[in-house]
Amino acid sequence: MAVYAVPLQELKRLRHGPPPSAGSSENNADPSAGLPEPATKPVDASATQGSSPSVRGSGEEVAFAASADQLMGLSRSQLAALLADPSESGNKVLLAMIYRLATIEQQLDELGSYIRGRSVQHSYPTPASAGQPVVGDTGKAEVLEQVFRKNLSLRGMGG
Amino acid sequence: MSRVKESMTAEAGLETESKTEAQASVPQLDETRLDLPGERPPPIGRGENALYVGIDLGTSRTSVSVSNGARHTVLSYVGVCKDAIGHKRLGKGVLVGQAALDNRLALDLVRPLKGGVIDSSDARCGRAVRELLRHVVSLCEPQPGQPIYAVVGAPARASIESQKAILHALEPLVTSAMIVSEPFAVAYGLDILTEALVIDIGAGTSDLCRMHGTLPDETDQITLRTGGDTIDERLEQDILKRYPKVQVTRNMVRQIKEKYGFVSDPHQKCEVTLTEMGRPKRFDLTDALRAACRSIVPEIVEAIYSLIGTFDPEFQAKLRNNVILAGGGSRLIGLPLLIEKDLAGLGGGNVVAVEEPTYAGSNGGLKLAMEMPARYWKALV
Repeated sequence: MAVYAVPLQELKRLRHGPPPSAGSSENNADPSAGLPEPATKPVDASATQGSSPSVRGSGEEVAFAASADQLMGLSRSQLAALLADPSESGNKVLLAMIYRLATIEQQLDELGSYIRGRSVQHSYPTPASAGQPVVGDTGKAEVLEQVFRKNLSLRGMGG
Repeated sequence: MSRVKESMTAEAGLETESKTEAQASVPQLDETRLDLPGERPPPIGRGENALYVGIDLGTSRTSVSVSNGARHTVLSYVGVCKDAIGHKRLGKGVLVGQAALDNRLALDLVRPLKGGVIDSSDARCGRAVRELLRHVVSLCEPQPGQPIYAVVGAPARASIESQKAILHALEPLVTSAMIVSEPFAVAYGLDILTEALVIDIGAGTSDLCRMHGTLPDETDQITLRTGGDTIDERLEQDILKRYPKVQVTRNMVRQIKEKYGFVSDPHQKCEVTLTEMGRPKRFDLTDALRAACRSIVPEIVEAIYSLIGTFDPEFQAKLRNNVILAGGGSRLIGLPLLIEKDLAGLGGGNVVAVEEPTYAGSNGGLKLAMEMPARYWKALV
């Protein structure tokens, strides 16, 4: 499990954003406006407090190594409500979301590497030329193994 | 191969019996006179120092291709001196190949392979084939202590006992050996492993094998007991029938066939000088030779029909358009065109002959030996 270290003060700055300018309509807007509202139970803002996030003091580095699966069951408006909470639990939710995104990114990287690896390992047959089909290395390796196994069998050594 | 040694000796039985009887009938065989050291090369394992060998063990000729670049072909004859006079004149007790044939009057001449496998009806053949292989391996010029890995081509439908007998004969000579079917070796050497029909026309057998991207099994292969020897036999009979007083031997007939053999319409006459009671005379053998050479074609075509007819119908056209002839029989002039004509019943086809019929099998064996993963070789040592 990866551990992401994020300065708590930086998280707070990110969550609250720059100081709002007077009369700004954007900062007063409901963050959940325009989003569909799934039928879910109302969530207490302290929903994530019992989970694995651990916070070591204000202004210090925050070690966050949590599964954060609880967030997946929340609606967008519920997440927005949690993020709007100025208490410590809001920070934890934000950290959990960042962690979740980072985990997904890592999984995507791994998946990408796997896919790239597969494409390298797989050998396609060489295109036929001059009416003489040529088998690629993968096919030839199988044939060689079959020859070997047949000779093993011939010697009564299995295969 | 030490584990194999006991089981093969017990299961095959052929070599054990042959050796016992051969010792009585061929007392002159002396392995110490040959070039190779008597001890088997050590099982060091595959590496850059190893020598890889492909062998086409044929009824008429045995060809060998070696990873050091050498390649040789020898007549599959082994001769043992009949008495001390011959031994003294020839300087050795056993002769192999052309030397054996040239001195056959002083030798007990053995052609140890019949139908591409060790002739079990003759007790001398087991020992003789070992001498033949010993000679062939010595031609490969192995360094002292150099491990040797060999792939040997055998007839497509050679019995398990025949294959074991060949392995047993090779056992003291090489570090490890594998057996493959001869037409498969040809196909592998040409990199033609999919949708092709390979026909290896040898002296003792004609082997047909259809390739479809995997190791061919028994249903993919047919071995016919016809080949160059069949042509020789029929030609000799025909000559004697037409010219009862002519003096001709089977070896002379073979030489005539190899020089003039054809199946097409004659473009020139085949006239040779033979004798009648010692008197030389010219004989026109054109018709007899053509008839003899064509005599093996119907059976081969019938086998082609069988292999194509039982193949996946979606790939039958590819198969009949990729027929490859190999072996000495493929040198018969006009053979590809004649078979093509006979394939009309299947919708036509394309038949070609390999460029080097003499070495196509041994080259394929060498390629197999060199590309075989090291762990496989080690597992068989």
